[in-house]
Amino acid sequence: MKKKMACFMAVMLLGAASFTGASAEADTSAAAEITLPTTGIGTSITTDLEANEEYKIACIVKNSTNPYMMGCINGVKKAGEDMGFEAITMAPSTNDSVEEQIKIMEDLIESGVDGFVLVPVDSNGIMPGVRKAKEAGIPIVCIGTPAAEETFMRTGVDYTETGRVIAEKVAEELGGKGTVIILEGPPGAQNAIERLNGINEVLDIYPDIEVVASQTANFKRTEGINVTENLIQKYGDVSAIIACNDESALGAYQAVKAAGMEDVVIVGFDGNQDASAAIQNGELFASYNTDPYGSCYVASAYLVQYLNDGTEPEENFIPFPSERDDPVITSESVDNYIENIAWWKTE
Amino acid sequence: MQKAIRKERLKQIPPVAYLLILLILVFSIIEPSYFSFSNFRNVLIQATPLMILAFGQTCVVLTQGTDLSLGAQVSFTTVFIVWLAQRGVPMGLAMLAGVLAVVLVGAVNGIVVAKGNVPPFIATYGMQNIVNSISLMLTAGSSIYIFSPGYLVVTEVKILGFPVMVWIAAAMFVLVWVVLNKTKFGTNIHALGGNREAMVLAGLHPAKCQIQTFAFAGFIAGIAGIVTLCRVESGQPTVAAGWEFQAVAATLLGGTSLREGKGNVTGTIFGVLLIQVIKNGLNVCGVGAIYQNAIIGTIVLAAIVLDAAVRLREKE
Repeated sequence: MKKKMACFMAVMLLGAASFTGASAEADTSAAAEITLPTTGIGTSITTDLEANEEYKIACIVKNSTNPYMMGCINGVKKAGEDMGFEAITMAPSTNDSVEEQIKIMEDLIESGVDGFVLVPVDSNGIMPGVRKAKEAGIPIVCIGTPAAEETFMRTGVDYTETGRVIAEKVAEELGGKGTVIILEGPPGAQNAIERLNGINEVLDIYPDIEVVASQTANFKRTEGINVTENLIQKYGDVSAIIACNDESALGAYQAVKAAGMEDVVIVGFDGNQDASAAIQNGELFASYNTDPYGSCYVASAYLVQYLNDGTEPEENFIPFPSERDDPVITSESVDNYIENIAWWKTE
Repeated sequence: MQKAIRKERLKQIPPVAYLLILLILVFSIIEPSYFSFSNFRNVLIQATPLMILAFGQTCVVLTQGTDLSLGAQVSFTTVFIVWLAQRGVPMGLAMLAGVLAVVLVGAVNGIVVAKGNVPPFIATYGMQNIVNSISLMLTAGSSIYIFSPGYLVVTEVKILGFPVMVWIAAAMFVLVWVVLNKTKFGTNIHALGGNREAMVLAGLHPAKCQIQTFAFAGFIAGIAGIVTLCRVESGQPTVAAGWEFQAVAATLLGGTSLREGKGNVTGTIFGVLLIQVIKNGLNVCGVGAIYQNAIIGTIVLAAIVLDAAVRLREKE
């Protein structure tokens, strides 16, 4: 109860602080209270933790084609090597089928796994599987999308925070002044809405930053090009484009380049391979490392801790990577990122 | 004499049944936890939606057609029911409307095929896209949700150790078996696939029968949709993508022929179980998705080749 109270207070303080324009500092201090069982981020992540027994930990992702999902799988595999548990990695054979995810959960519960690292396709759709795991006393860590009811814990990025952090970075770069286009994610997608809210929350603080347009580019590169083309036709020179993922940011860059515009600050989210190269070439200004590799590694570490001695996580939702983990990729950090951290690298 | 009868009975068991037993043995040896009542119950539960759907596909295949819109119909049913329920329609009524809607979809399929002389493959492929698109329109692309205690009645309440959904599949089996073997409609379905000209000569209406068959398959897809809805507790616009092909595979595995109007729904049970036993076994053994489809494809092909070889030998 006390913890909840403290958390509530922290949120209130944070809210108050953001009105005075000092949000970034307050944010870090609130998040830094949690000590992770791991150190580092991306493929540089490590831990001293060791599994007491050779637990079976199963990672279930949404599909086996998306690089993000492959990052998850590789993260749990590495965690298994480092901590000494057996990593089982599964994906539906039909991409993004929640029905198959339930089947996989049922089958693995039957075969006797000790913990789940789960990327649910759908919060409500996954519930039958989640309930069966709970009945069997198997802890579940959800990555990104939460299940409709609370599980053992949840990690992955806090989408609102990602929006806040990147918007702060842009505002800083613009010196608190300029015109901005926002390329939104798919309409109705929860994570896209949260990210957008985070962006707007920060930009609202700056009276001299004007959001001239906020339209969806559906997280796609081609739509990023088209929408940006249309918008710069209408609004002319803008100072910055905040795209809600890397793909649409890369599209925005192509449109800006074709229009012969220079010095437009373009940012995205995910830290994917193409975006990293684009940051290296100075095409994109920044991206946020959403790090599925590290998220799933952290999730595994919490499971191992719990299975070892029953340690519960300090909070039910522990965002990772969070601002404390230095997730922003810019021209200064991009070389190190690609060399040592990037989650999309295959070992 | 007795021996001959027994031999005749043995022949009626499709070869796929033997393969099924073999696979269960193999998985049991690889993974000891596999061979348990609760795991077999799992297999039955997991097989249920596809099982029901495959009964409908069997009827269509018997008329020498395939219905590629059946998967889309299942997804649509889950979406449409939740969509109606979100707008205040009582769950029971919404389910009824969901089933009626796909019966209508099936009837339109039948009309296009029978009256428009369009091959079923093409007509139902078009319908698949239309229905999928409507599902996405109703949900704006994501999934939709409403709570109902009815879900748990279907998936959690157990009768004789098995949840209600398994009994629904059993009831659908009895229904389809009776329709195919004991009714005039069933005789017409077999006739439509076996000898269309003879049907016309006998004063029957192939077109009418075709439309009825597709509508009946739609009805069955609607029931499969209700079970799927209870299983995923939400309206999922793409949940059953590809099930129509799995249903065709199961039907063929079960010994129903694409050419002669021969076969029966009993064999389809074994076909579905084979597919599900492979999937479940691979999951229990922790085999990843990228290998699963190749393994399933190989076993399904082997089963069909085996089936054809056995039949050929019987003829000789």
